Amino acid sequence: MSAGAERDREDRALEALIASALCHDDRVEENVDPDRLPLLTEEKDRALESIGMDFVQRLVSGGLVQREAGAPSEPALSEEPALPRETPGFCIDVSINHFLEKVKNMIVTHKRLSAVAAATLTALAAGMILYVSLFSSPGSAYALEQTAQANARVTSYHVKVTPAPLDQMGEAWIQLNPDGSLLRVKVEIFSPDDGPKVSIVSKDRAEVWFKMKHSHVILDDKPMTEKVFKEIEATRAYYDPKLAFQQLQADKKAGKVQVETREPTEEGQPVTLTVTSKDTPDKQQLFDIDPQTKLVERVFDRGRKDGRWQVVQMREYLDYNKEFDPSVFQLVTPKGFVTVDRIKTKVGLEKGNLTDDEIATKVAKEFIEALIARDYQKASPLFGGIPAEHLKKLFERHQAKFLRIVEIGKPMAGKHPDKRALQVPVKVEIEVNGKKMIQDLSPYVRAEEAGRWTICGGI
Amino acid sequence: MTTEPLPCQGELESLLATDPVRFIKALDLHYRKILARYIERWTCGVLDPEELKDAYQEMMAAIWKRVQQPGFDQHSPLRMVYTIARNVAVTMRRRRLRQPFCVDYEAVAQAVGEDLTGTQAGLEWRLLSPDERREFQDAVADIIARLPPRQQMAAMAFVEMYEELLVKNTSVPLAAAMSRLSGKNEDVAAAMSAWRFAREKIREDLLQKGYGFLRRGNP
Repeated sequence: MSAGAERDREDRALEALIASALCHDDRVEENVDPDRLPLLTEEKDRALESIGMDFVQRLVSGGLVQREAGAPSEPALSEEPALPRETPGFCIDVSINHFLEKVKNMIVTHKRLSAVAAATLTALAAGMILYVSLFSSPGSAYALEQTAQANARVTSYHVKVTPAPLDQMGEAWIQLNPDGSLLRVKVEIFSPDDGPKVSIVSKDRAEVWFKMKHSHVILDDKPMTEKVFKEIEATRAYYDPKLAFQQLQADKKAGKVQVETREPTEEGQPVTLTVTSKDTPDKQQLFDIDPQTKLVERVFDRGRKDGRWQVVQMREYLDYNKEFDPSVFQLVTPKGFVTVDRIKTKVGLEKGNLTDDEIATKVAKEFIEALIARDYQKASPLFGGIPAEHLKKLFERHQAKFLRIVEIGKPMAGKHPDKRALQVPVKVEIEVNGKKMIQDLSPYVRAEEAGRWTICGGI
Repeated sequence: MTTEPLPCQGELESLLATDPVRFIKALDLHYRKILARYIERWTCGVLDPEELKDAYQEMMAAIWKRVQQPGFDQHSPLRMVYTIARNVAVTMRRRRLRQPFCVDYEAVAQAVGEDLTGTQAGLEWRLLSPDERREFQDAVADIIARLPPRQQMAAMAFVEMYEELLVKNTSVPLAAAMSRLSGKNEDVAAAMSAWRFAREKIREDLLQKGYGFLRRGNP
């Protein structure tokens, strides 16, 4: 084994030891030496001080519900989500006391009532109190239909998914039409191909900021925007509280799931629905419902492993029916980002009557010819609309001159993530520092908006 | 906060046995800063001040919930306190990185085992006693907690994404995790560079602590 490979292996071994030291740490500590702990910054010190000295008083008096403390709502490791405590039995709430008071007043003020009648009425009242205490929880009982009705009035919401799965949204801001269909969406996704990206999509406009690729694409081509819009709509069942709830109701009606409802026992606690599928008893969904608005606050997906329930994912719904700040739907990219405005610049070449191979070859050829002529204005729309000045920087930074096309091969399917893209093998003569050489290029060309073909990679 | 000596384990234990409210009050009064610094150690400084405050409050609420549970074992309460503090910290750290709350430890252990097999470091590691391994873990955690912020962030991102990095054989998840931690776009090359600097600093500090088998080119 070479010294380099040996060094790589030892580096990987060190990395493994570092990862294992922190990743799987099950130590039980009790003698922690404060001198070995990191010091806090002044801001962190101040934040801690701001908790106040009455914090514990609020905590123990129940005035500080865990989720209200600004703390995140999902559980710590190995702990189940904080569920409402059991409803205490035989409690007489304010409304029942009020009822008793009213009955007493009736007896006192209706002097014409006989003693027997008064006694009967008192017994009746006592019986009613016992009935109410035994069979009703404080406040009216929750029913699934209440959330279904509340969902029908939703016009916008903000959803966060933790942890965000690859290629699916991590966070989104949704605006709906009065009929409940999608109007406009801002969505943050981590794509294995593109890295993190932010998209703002409506039926007639789409804007995508590819954070890792340092580019920002704006387009208004209707077939293209409608396609993107439909893709987002197709995944709606994954993030939309209304559709999730409709599914829950349908499954319950069909007897596919068992739904256990727990009413809140303290102010600030949610109604919790625990949904267990009969087919997959090791999986559960927990819905936290706001007891006032009846809207879904959170959905936890849980799985049971080795007899323990663990939260696998959480979707949190915020800002229902709130007008979003206009800045939510305005992408502000950092300096140095390449903005490709496809509304101003139509990209690619029209296919017309050409075959796929012919149009792919034509685009590749015209692009290389534009590079030879150093005509970056012409090259720009052929390379996905990347601005001419950016192309100039890109192709002139190595002092290379494109001299001539030596050969263009037959287009073929390549390894581009978009399977429809065709790879065009091109041999080009270039000159670098006065030395001529033959360079292989393999641009990928594909159909984009309105049947126009453009280069999408491989350069 | 008070400057009085910290109540010891025994004192906390008797407080807990007689009056859980006094126990939780004593904990907040005397241990607030220490517990926050303990959370800081396990989150390696990635939380902002408000998040640290939230983590502390979440931890205290969890402790209060635990001590009220019927049949709760009142012995050695600091063990329970530090365990909850660490769990809250790790959960917050993973949330920052949008990592699953349930780590597949078996998969990580397998990946670690594969990377150690046939290496000098792996051989030496196997010869360490369980106590020595725990000391090593302590040393790594302490070193990371004292790294410069950017290197610390890279180390945290690496540790959390370790399994994914191995499976995918690309550094993109490292850059993505760092972007989530920093709130800025981090490119792959810069993320890898930060991690390499961090790794070499950890190696250097471990060598100083006597872990000579980590020396590059060690026979």
